[in-house]
Amino acid sequence: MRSGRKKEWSILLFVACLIAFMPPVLRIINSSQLLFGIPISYLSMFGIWGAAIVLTAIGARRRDRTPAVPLPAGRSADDAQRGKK
Amino acid sequence: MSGGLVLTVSFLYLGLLFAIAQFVDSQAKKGRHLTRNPYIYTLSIAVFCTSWTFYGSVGLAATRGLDFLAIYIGPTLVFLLWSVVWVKIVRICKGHRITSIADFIASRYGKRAGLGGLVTVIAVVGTMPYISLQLKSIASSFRILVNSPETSLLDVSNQSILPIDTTLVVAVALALFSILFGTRHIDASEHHEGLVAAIAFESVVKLVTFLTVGIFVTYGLYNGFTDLFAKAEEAGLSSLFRISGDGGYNVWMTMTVLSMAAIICLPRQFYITAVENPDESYLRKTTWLFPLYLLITNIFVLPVALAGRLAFQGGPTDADMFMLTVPLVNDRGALALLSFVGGLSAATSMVIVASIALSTMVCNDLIMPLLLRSKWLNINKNDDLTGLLLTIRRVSILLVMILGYAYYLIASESYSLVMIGLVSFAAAAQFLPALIGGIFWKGASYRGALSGLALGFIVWLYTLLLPSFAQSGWLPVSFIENGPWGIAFLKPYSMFGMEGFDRLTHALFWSMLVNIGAYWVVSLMSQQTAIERIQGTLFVDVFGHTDDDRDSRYWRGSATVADLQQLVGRFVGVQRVAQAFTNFAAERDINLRKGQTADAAMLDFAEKMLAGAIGSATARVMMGSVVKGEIVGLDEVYRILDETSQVIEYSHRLEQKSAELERATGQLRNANERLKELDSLKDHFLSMVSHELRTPLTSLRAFGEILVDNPEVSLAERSQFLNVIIKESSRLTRLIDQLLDLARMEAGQMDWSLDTVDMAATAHEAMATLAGLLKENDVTLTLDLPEGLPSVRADRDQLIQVMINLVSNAIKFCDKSNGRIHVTVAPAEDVLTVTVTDNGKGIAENMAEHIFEKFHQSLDSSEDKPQGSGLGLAICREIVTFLGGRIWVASPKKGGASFSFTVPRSDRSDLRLSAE
Repeated sequence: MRSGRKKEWSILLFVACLIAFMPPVLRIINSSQLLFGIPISYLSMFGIWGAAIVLTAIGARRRDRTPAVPLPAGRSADDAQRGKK
Repeated sequence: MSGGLVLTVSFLYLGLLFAIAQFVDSQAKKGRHLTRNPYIYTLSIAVFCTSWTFYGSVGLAATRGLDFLAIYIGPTLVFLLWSVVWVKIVRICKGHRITSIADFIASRYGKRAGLGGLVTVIAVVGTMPYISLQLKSIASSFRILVNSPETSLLDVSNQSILPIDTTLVVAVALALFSILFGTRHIDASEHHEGLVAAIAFESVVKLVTFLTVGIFVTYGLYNGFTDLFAKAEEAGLSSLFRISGDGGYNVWMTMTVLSMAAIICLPRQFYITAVENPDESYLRKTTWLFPLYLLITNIFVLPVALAGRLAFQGGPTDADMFMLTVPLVNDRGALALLSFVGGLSAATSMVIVASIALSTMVCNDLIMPLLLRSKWLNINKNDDLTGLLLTIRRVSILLVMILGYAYYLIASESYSLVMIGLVSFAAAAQFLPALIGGIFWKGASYRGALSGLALGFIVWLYTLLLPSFAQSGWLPVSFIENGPWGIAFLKPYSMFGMEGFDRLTHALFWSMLVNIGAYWVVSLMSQQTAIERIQGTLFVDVFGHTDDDRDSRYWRGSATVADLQQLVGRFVGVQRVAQAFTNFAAERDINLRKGQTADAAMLDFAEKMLAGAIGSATARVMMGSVVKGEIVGLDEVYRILDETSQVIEYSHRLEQKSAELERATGQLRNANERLKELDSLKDHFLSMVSHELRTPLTSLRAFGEILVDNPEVSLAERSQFLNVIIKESSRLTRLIDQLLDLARMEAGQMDWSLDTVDMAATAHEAMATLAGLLKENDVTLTLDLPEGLPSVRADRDQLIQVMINLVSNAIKFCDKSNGRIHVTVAPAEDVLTVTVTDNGKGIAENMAEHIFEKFHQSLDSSEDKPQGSGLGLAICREIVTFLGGRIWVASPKKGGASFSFTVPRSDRSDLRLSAE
């Protein structure tokens, strides 16, 4: 029932990271050559990881304009209800 | 470094933890909740980073490069899915007062103790290696620190510093610490704020110490990352810069999947993330803060590992301990001590949370159901059992720790830290199908979950745990090499001849195959019971049901409030229960009496409260012992929960509403038409009335002007003109009088003088009044009055008015040449009926209804204008109705119109004084 962009966004990120961290793509970035004195694999792994964290943080932002009261159950309750138990 | 110093620091550190927990708890009692924020919550989840992270990651990086990252990328991936997975799990835990993962799974599949027990057994056995890992790391780090300088660095002896084994001392100390920490309250679903604060503090300590060592190594021993990487490349360590993907990345993928499962399914992670969650909205921040914590922790793992490899080039050394040995070999004793404290904090936090989570499970899902089954509790039915519960939990903590120690003794030397940890992860991963399936698939059944878990666990035992015993010499090594009894295709590391995979991938494949397979197939083939069906729907549709208490009630039996209170009080404490029940009553604005039968909401409340203390499965059994009657049947469950029926009911209501709406619309339309009609009538009337008023006024003015302008008019003419003026003004007066009368009648302001009236006399008087008019129009009137007419109760003047109106109407409309009017008065049961019949053209059928309405004229195209004001009949109706009679018109076959009205007889006692 919890629908809305938030959910789609997090699934998109999940799939994107899955692709980045699984073999076909992993083979490309998994290189021990140095770039600016730092291994490419080390740089790219932490880079993708950090980017995923930033994008998650953006996706999880609370939108200020959402009403503070809980929406009726069954609707897109994605922001307002979370604050309430 | 002296053992005394290290011991002192250790105990000071543990004491500090305890002080923090106490302080936070005491503040919480005063209502100041210091841990209620997303940052503390995130740090508490960082209990995921144990000494495995602290020591083991470095060890793994020193041999296999970036492989260690999989353990942290997996949890990151899961937290990306926070809104899909975590929010749902947390919501369910809060709604059902879930106390552990065993409770969660048992509750989902029908609150059956068997499943909870199995999950508990798997969790305890599966966590055993993990705890042994922590013990091992604490013990080795202690030894290394104390045995320095360098001579002993390379070859750590097992020689003990204390009279008994260091590891055992550590285990007992940690057990005592956990007992003091975690089992102060009985309600496991309540938030242990002190515990959370201490764990969060430990997370800060381990992060800071790790970063300190990392920065020292990277920037103190080397000139930053580039320098370190360049030196390592020179030394031929560049293979460590990457993931060792030689086996087609099998290990990497397996580790990722395992760590994804672990972050949800490890008992301690589930406990700290879902059960100890103070507020669902914190997840919004935690979802990126926790991965950030993991990222920061891991930045310096590779540098420390490389530095370790460079420092101990060639020599045999335990790479797992580089965090200590690298500072030590560079004569940084203080830094090594700091690092030791970091490792200690990483280990203790895991051990504390894991043992508390496990002890809750052991108590609620294993021991309590067994005690209940043995009927032992029923003997002392009224005992306070809170003490017993606490004792069970304390003993379980000790037991868990001893098991960990036992595993350490038996097997831990055979695996590295990471491998031990992964064995535990693989055990926890067995919960994943039942857990994730349980919150997304309503059809998953108890039998499916039970068989999947059991089979998966057996395969895990066979492919991972038993071989580790064999490697340590507790089982013959031939068990691994040739398979049991020499059966080659049962070799634990290559079942059915599946070669070429590492042990972990191999074990994960087979255990998940049988686990998911059995879960799926058996679920499809077995029937769900009523409770399974209810729980399944409640778990899967948790967002739809959160605000709807109605659906979670399935008790149909009856129990008194006092019974419930006593039952819950035995487990939770009498005073707390009394308080809780009072609050519950106050919230719902009801008055609780002891002997009162508890309603469904009350039963539900009591069960959930009980579940918070002893787990859902046990709580259900206990409730069953008090509640007399059955739980609801399957049909009712379907009725309550089935979406289809809800939709049908909803659409039924919608239909009703739309029918009502249609009716209302019809009424509105009718009213509107009526209004339009009345409006046109009013217009018509106004034009008519103004015409009626103007005609006499015009003649008045004309004759007046003649008289003024022509003074020489003869006397005869003058008097004739004046007569016309008088006649016209009296006509005007009559018209206005009629209007006023009608208005007064309608407003109910008419002055009536009701009396007993002689009908015959009244009729005669009316006819006399009309004699002139009759003569003028040359109309014959016959009056038919039977002898001995009874008198009526009426207003005499008004009665005459009615008859005059009717007869004068008849005169107007009767045949012009041969006018005849017949008036009869006939007595009936209660009334006298007066009928006035003329021989005019009659009244059209469709007009019969409307003719009595005011302003309504019997229009006829053949005539220039209607005669009269159109008020006469309306006035008649008002009067007759007031007098308690009725008036109507009929069209006799022989032509003409026949108006009749009734007047109540005065000799009937039951006078209908409808108007009064």
